[in-house]
Amino acid sequence: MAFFSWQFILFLTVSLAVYYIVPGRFRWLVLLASSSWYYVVGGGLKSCVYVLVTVITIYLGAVIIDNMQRKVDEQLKGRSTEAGTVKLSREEKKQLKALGQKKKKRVLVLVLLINFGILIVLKYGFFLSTNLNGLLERFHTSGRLPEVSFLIPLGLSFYTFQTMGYLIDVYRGKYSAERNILRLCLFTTYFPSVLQGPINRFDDLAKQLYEPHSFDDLQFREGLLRMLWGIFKKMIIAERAAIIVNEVFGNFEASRYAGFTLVVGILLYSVQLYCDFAGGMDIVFGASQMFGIHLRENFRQPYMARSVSEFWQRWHISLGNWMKDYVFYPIALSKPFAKMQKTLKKNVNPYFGKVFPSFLASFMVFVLVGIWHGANWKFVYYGLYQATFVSTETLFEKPYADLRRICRVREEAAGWKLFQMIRTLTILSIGRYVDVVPDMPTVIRALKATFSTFNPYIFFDGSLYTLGVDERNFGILILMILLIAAVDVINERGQTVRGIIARQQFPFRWVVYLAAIAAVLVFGMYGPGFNMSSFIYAQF
Amino acid sequence: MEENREELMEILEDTRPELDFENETALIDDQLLDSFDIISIVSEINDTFDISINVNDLLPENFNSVDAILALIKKLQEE
Repeated sequence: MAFFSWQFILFLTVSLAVYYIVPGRFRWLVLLASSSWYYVVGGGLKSCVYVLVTVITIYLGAVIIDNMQRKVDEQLKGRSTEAGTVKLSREEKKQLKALGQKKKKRVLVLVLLINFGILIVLKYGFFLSTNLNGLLERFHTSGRLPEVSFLIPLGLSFYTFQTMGYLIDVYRGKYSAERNILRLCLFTTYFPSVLQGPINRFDDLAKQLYEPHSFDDLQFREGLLRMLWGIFKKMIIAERAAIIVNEVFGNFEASRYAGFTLVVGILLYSVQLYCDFAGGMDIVFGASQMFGIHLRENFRQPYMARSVSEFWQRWHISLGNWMKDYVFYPIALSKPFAKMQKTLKKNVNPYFGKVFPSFLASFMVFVLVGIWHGANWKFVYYGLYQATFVSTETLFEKPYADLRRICRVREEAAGWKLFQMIRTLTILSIGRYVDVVPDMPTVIRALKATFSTFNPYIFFDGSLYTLGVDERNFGILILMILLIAAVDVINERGQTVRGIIARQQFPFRWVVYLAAIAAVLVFGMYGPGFNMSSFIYAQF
Repeated sequence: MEENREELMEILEDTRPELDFENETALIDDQLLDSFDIISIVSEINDTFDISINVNDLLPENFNSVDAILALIKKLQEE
């Protein structure tokens, strides 16, 4: 069900009405019913089978792990004999804990394997089987694997990551397991965020889902406004930018675009990606806020980042945090890494030893993030490219600082900050070539074409208006991008424009709402092939 | 305990000299320490105090302040 369709508006209206009409203790069941309905309609019954497998295995895994922990805790209190409870020795306690840990780990690994297995087979089955067949061919063996490709259930990566995070947290003892499977089912399939995230955390979201929220006028207004803002970004900006991006890169082999045309194209791709993804998030957050449920923010003015690592702390925050907690830390703190660290500190250099494990672990994380974006080798390179910048920032922190001192850079000067932002945007834009053309040789060709032609005249001779968007629409696009930038600057200073508007008097508020709706209707792009449901990030 | 505190302060100040560790109580919640800092601090603590902080101990409440980190060290030393 598309986010911007009359069906969705009707669905949301009915869900909201029923939610606030039924007595408090049934409200979470309304959310569960709405989410199930949304999932069945959007994903089909086949998708439901997969999601049910995940809910059931994660539920059982968490409950079993929790029970094991309780039993160990009980035993740690002491042995009961006829004479009363006998305290355990330190050694006995240690053994008991180790044994409990081992048992818990077995359950954890089994459930993770099942769910990771499903994710890998469904999402990467085709990629893996074609690559393995390539390998078999190279060794001249006759056997071939069947080249498989599957229907991918709605929101597969998002709900898998979300529930695996929950299970690992229970294993780590961060909180107890949820004993009501229907509640876990709601956490897994909560409809605003199931399609394109954010990847929610159980301790952030679950309690909010289950407790009844009373109707709050201000929350409702802010949520509505946020949804409108998201639709605005998606329809007016992302869809317009997409036309130019498709024209410039869509058929790159056959086109002769070069120099600044490609620069404009790739910058607009950055705009498109941001407005598509962050706009989608605004719709998700807005819809959720109307139920009184606040999701953890997924974006924080990403293009104001002054370094690549800062960008990744501001872009798709929930994925970054997930990777940090469940991949980066476990790797960087693992025994082999600790050993490596010690050896490096002793034999090479104390500073190098201190930062190298993080450096290596972050490479692994970014390769994973790359692969998460798609089952294609080019995304592996994309991950490596990002990791190079993120990890060298730490590795070369000292030489970089020395260089700045030698060049007498004033770190707090506005000019320096702006330079850093532009530098970050440039690095990111070069990385995005991987995303817009089909394979690595084409990426190289596109980069060559960008840097080998100097054609600044395209900004004056009207050739920009021949890329599928005419002069008037190009003007609208630029104006709207400036508007987004202005809002981001205000947000960066700690205020939200949405909050300011929602607190205004009734007539002013309605002028803003109506203006936003009118803008979407007048300036929104609806070509014949238009499909509001096709958010770029929903594919992941 | 005082000795532990001094050694810990040295590790922390060595990693991020610009932070006021004595008075900060939200090192993680306010994102004053990033993940690279945490890894380097944890590895130094493990070496210095001969304990092993593992990934399950990496909860914000264990790292938000000097006192919290000291409490974690004490707990792990006693185990």
